[in-house]
Amino acid sequence: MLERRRCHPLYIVEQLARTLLVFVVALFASVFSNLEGEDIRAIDLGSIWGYVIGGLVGLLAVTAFFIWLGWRNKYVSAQDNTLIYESGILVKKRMTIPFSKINTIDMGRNVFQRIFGTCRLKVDTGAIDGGAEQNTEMNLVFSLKDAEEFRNYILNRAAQDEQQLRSEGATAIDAGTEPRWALQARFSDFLMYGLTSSSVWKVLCTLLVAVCFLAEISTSILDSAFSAAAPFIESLWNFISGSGILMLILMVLGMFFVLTLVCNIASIVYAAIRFYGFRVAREGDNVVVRYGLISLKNYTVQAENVHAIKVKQNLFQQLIGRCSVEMVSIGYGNEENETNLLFPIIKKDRLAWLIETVLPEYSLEVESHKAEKRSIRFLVVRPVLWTALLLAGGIVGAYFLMESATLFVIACAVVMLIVIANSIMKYRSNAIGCDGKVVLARSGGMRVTSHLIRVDAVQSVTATSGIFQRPRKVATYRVDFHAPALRNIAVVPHMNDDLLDELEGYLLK
Amino acid sequence: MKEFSRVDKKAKTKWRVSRFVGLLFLAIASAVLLLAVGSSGESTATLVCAIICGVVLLLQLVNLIVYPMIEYIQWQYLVDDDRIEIKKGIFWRSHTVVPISRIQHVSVKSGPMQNIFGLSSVEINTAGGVHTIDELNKEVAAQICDKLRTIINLKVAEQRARELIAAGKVTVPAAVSTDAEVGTDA
Repeated sequence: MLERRRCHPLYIVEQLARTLLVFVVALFASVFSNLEGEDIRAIDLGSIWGYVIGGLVGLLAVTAFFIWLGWRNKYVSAQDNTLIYESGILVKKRMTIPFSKINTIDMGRNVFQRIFGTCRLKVDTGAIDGGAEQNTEMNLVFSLKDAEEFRNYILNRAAQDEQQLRSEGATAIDAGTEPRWALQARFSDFLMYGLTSSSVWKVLCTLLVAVCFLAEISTSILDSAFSAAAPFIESLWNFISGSGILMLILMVLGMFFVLTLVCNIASIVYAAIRFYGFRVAREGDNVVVRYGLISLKNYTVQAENVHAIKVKQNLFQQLIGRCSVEMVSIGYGNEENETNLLFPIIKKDRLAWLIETVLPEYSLEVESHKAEKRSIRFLVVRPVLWTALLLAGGIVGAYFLMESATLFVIACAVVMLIVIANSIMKYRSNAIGCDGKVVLARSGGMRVTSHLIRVDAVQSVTATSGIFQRPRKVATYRVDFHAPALRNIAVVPHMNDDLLDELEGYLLK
Repeated sequence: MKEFSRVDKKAKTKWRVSRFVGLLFLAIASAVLLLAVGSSGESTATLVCAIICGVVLLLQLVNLIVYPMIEYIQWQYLVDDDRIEIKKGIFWRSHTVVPISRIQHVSVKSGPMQNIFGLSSVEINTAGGVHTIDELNKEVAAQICDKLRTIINLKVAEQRARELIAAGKVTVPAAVSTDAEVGTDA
């Protein structure tokens, strides 16, 4: 039994900081929305700051009082096989969570929590309250010692129960001992992750949005920036217009290369910070994952609640034979910035070993059906033809409207090549199959996602065929499985339409 | 060969009536729009509006006259001891298989138009989403609900029995020892 205890007082500070952030954002939004095109410098800020600060302090004081009251009335205790969470100021709520129903125990720590020696303890049953909103989780801040005590108590009791049920050896978890890590990330992993996941296009778009935003809030800032850079832009333009088309292309490629290099370096540093010390272990019936340099992630997922494994590969990862692996389990991975990672990047030949060690319930050796030649029409010919038609229309238009359409034609040729490559890759990667335990659903071209779904987690299978697909006996399969979000549906397009009976046979066994 | 059932015959009339109401609303809205644009004196804008309204009304007319016949033929369902199968769609035809063991709960719903024609929809909720068998006779819907409830209760009882056998809390008679072995494996 663990006695009734309150959260760490840092909980009050965190809640207050969040509220303050909302106030500040709302305040700035209201001030800016009232500008109506006026120059920000024309506003006499001195006249409104008094009201603003006074109102803010008053609101904060009231909020702080209610947060403090909420903290005083929030208790957590554990008795036998149940976690008891009490809360509420006027309306008292008492939530009892049987240990057997706990899917995930998350002990993440952000920078402030690390400074103050606390940690977030999130216990999730994965149940859905009121249709969509998830209110059945406990998400509180405790001292690290208290959080570890709760975690070990829950895991030990759950393991004992399982042991009693199965009458066989289930390993107990000793407080304070480190799990036997199956795999730890090394610098080469961060390097590979950074190199293969850098997003140059995202950076370009962000730059564009930032410039547009600046132009929106103050044209004067942009004007002064442009006037300062005018001589440089002018000389650059003179140089460009004096050079040939080849030089221009080389310059664009050179700039793109520099940007890619900078993005890659940033991405490697980001990966090293985010996934620092990434390690994964199988501890009894649980999968334990820990990582992070600044913000620590530490989550424990019951293996039997891992309903699927997602193996993702982007183009670069396909080229160097690596992939990232995620788990799909109820109770973790449903929040923003919360990815249920099993390993950020791993060689494809090591993946089978990792899954066998950490999640032996799954297997990569699933016999699957690949897309047949009849699917080429839908996976390759149709997208290529449509793109060609659109681009041809664009090129014709460009010849009429533009003085020189050479650059546009080159860009169209590049797009065409990308579409052809993507379509062929889609055709090659498409696969669906089942071995009685696991359903494999793989699709995607330059970004391939393989879903390995436990058969008992599959809720339904749907085959949809359009008017052009039916004569060719082709259908698109949707495997709907038990997942924290409805978007988690595995879709495999344009496969033989006779596979539904086979899948149905495995589902009903 | 699987024997699929069709939706109730009254569904065709219900679809036609509800779509006729929709067509009426669309026709009134189109007339108001055309009058408003026409009064402005812009002949091109009036022509464009008239074409758009005409296409929308024509599609709704097809939806009213032709689609109910196709939908009646193509919407089929099968409720078996171990699965539910639903076929739907006009141009994109889908065939869904839901194992009975995955059903979380079943509900019967009927809207105002369905009530007039004595029809109901059966909603089958799984942990992954909702599947609906629409436009069933109220009695048939209730029968399906009862059947599913009985099957689900049996499955739950079977599962509990297997767990108890696996935990050794129940002794198994020799006559059903084969089942007991299955239970231990499960």
